[in-house]
Amino acid sequence: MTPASRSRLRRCLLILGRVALGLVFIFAAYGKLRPIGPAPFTAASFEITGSSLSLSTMTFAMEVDSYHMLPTWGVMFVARVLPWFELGLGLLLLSGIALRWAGLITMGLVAVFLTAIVHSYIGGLQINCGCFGPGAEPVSKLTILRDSSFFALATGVTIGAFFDTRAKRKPSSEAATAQVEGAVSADPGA
Amino acid sequence: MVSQLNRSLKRALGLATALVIAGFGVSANARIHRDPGQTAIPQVTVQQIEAGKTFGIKTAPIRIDTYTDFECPHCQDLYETVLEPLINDYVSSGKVYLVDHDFPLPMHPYAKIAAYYADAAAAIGRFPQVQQALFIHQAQWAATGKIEPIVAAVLSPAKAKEVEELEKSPVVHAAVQHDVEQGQALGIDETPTMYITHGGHRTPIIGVVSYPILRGYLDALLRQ
Repeated sequence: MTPASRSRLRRCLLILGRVALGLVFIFAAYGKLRPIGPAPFTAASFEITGSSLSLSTMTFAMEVDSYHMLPTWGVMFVARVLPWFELGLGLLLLSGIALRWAGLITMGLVAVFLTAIVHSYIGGLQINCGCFGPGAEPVSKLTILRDSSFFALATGVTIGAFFDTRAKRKPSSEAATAQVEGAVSADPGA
Repeated sequence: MVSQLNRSLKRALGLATALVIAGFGVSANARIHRDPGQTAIPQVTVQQIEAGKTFGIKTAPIRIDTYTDFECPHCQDLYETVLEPLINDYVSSGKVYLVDHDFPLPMHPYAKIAAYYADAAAAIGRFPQVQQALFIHQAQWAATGKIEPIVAAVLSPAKAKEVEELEKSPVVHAAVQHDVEQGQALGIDETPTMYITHGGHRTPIIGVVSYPILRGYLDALLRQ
């Protein structure tokens, strides 16, 4: 495999990884923000109003609270902010804008989720994961495995994004060096 | 004069009859107290037992179904920190209809017997007292398996005797089994699990939620 084709493959994998991760985050945000009641992905499930949002927030707050890791104000802060944060992060990953930083933040966020899930699983807490909004999805080995794979994906995307940026910078810096060298050789006084 | 005499005679006869009836009543009652083995056990149905485990009015806008195990520490926590204030704030005001279901887990050796006692108490309208006693003194009976004294302490001797008899009744066992089957059909395998139903939509809550958060959720539901 030539360096060029290797670089192409790496870039393709990076796009696939960030799109997958972005969709996961957008789906997670949608699950937490969508109105309670209507079937998912119907017109009604996208009609987010003030009262529907308040109910969705409180439903998610109950799931955050069941982890017993935060005081009431902390639970309410997470319930209000996290879904929108996930949506923003998902859009950033999907678009590829500021990918290195989006990747780093995603890694950190997934690490926090994973820690909370493992902590509650080890502590024998029988609770809903709440990862993709309300629903009977108890914390289990399967949820730990799923979040671990998200963490691995986020790590891969972040490393890939840093490599990609370096690879993009390298030719331009080489060109700049060449330009400087050219300028020096052209200078008769040198 | 004769009619007056007749009236007095009739009155005296009526009084004597009343006294005789009252005397029989007292003697019959005394006989029941003398022989505790002959306590009348009421005939109950599973439906009656289920009705005895509900709080509030059926037409309330929100219905909460709880699936609990009397020996589970998280269920005790839910009862003390959530269900008790919920009954005071939302059930009493007609906003919530609370339905209790038994879900004794196989890993708890005395949970099923405790559920039998609670359902027996529900059959005679004493569920709230027995539920409270079982949760408050959970550590005590869960260590020894001695549930009967805990239950008897919150009931009159006659009611305690009735509960003790009913606890062995197949109807009570069937009521507990019915709850378990209902829970299994919903996919429950952990306790406590709550189902909050409003406007035909049901939200499952696994584990213990803090009361201020639940209150916020219920208020948001009521505002819908």
